[in-house]
Amino acid sequence: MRILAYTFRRLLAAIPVLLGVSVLAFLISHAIPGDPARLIVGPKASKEAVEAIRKEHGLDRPLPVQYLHFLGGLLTGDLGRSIRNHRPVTEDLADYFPATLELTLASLVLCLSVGIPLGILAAVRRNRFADHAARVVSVVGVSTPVFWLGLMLLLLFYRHLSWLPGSGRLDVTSAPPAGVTGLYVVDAVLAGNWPLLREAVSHLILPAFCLSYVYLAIITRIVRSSMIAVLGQDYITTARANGLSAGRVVFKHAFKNSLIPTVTIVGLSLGELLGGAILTETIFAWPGMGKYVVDSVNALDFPAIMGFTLVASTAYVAINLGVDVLYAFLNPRIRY
Amino acid sequence: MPTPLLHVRDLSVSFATYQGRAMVLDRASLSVNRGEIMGLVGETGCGKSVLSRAVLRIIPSPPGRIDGGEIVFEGRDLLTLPKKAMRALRGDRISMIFQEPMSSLNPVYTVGNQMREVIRAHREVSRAEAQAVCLEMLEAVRLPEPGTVLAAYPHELSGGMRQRVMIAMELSCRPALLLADEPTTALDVTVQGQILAILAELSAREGLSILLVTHDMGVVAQICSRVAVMYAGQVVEVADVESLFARPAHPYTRGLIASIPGRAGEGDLYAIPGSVPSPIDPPPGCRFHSRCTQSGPDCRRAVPEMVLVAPDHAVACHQCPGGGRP
Ligand SMILES: Nc1ncnc2c1ncn2[C@@H]1O[C@H](COP(=O)(O)OP(=O)(O)OP(=O)(O)O)[C@@H](O)[C@H]1O
Ligand code: SF4
Ligand SMILES: [Mg+2]
Repeated sequence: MRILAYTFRRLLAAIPVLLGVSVLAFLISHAIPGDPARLIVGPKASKEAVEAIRKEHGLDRPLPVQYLHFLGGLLTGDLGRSIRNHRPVTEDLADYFPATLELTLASLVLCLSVGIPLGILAAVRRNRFADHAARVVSVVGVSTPVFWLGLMLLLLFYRHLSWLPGSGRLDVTSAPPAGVTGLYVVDAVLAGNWPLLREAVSHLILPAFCLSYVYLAIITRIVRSSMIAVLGQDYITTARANGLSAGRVVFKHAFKNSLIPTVTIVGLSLGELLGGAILTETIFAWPGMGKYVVDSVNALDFPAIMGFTLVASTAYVAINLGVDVLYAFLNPRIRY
Repeated sequence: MPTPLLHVRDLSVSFATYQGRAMVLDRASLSVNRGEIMGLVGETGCGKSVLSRAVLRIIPSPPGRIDGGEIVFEGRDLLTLPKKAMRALRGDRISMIFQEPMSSLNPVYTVGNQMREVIRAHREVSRAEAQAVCLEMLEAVRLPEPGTVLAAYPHELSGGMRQRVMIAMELSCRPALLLADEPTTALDVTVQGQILAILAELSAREGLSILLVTHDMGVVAQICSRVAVMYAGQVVEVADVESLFARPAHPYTRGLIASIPGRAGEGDLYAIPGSVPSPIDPPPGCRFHSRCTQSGPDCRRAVPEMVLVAPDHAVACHQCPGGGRP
């Protein structure tokens, strides 16, 4: 299939990008002002102690050698040890990344499952009640600061109504499901542990909603406007003139075309959702990458920073790849 | 007299605009007989597309609205037909092709997908049976390698090929009437000729009636048997092609014929002076009076009625005394 060959070529093309990312991650984390070795041993330690630490972490060697060492480790799945807590960085990432990913995916599902139908409805019932309602939802979404929205959600649903939990991924007394993916919702399903699934989902709702609202609003607007543009096209008149039902006209002929601009926005949003979770994670005490990164930067924990940069950039590259493939799938006019 | 297949009677259509309601069609009447090619001509903006779309009831609404009249097709008034029955007619008994073959087909589906969909919307047939009809239709419009065309996306075909695909698609359910809204305007001259030849051949062979909207009096002379002339939302003259060209009765039609390149002589292009009145707040009386060289006192006051000046030749003009209603 053409699409498969295209995907494969794009995968190959991603390799140099990722190599470049590794160089950048390495350089940036070494360009941070301050001496991590000094930070570890403390301001009063002797010069010898600092030197020993430098040696231990390989900081005394020339930069290119350090990079090759780092790259070698990377290829074997070793990102070094955190300076801060002496754990392998991969283990830290394995703990924190799935939390962020789960939150991001849940937000994405919310964005798409609400944003797309709402956008279509607004376009089809243009200038009627549904359209105005969708517009209010969008304007509120785009103009509400995340921290304020988060606090209001907590106040209402956690404090006053007590409908939903307000922090963490699970109740403090619960143990996480036996982890395959690290996504608690998925792991709970795999383990068939329904009470735990309920618990994980209820913890997800508020932060996912908080994180997704802005993007939900944007996606609604994009779907609406691209749908309106598509509904005015000649081929829509053709479809109607051919006696096709309104449902077929909208959901077959208009929808696929209107998805083309939407996919681009969804890809961008997904990238931002992944990177933009820091505020939301802080408000809802979500043990994700956001907090991990802030702590790492404060501690000049450069192996951790590099690890995070790599994971985040790889995710970006993967999202872009996905968007391009989806784009090619939706739009036969793309030459690939 | 042949029985008309389609009879549009006193059709009025208006659009809501920011300047007010535009009376785009004002009591327009014409008929199309079985098996004939009926030309519909007139300056840009006179309402030809609106009239042909009104027949299928696909005028965007809002802002459009059909204010009155009848559209009788095979004995039924389409304007009173329930939505569902109307939808069943579209693409089956009455089909339409448009000016822009580049944009009339959906770019994200293959030709086969779109053609089969139309057939299966109207006939209980399997995919394979629909496919067979598609191939047969593509051959009828003389497309080489119909199998390849069916698997192609619209952007992989030339404009002329796409218009043939449109014709094949629209005729796949064997309609009685094809509304063709300037089907060749966007095409090269050589391709234009081929498309017109295909339409003429299908009409003759299958007994298909065609309402052919065009700007081009040359096209009318070539393939139409009758022709209706529109001016500013009204049908002002209807005649068989020979009498129209030999004895144009309405001053506007005379201007139109005089402005055909090569007719005015000496390479001079004749153009009717003045411009079309606005459909918002149109002038009283005859809508052509501000541009008419023959206009008299009646013309500003009363709207001229259609009268017969010869068998099968009707005209709406105060200066053309005729013998009774058409
Ligand atoms: N959707 C619409 N909204 C408002 N006015 C419209 C709309 N569609 C058509 N009209 C108006 O109706 C009038 C007739 O338009 P129509 O497209 O039928 O002209 P036409 O005779 O087909 O012209 P052309 O030869 O350029 O195709 C024009 O004045 C146009 O402005
Ligand atoms: S009715 Fe009068 S104004 Fe109109 S075309 Fe005839 S002569 Fe001219
Ligand atoms: Mg037109």
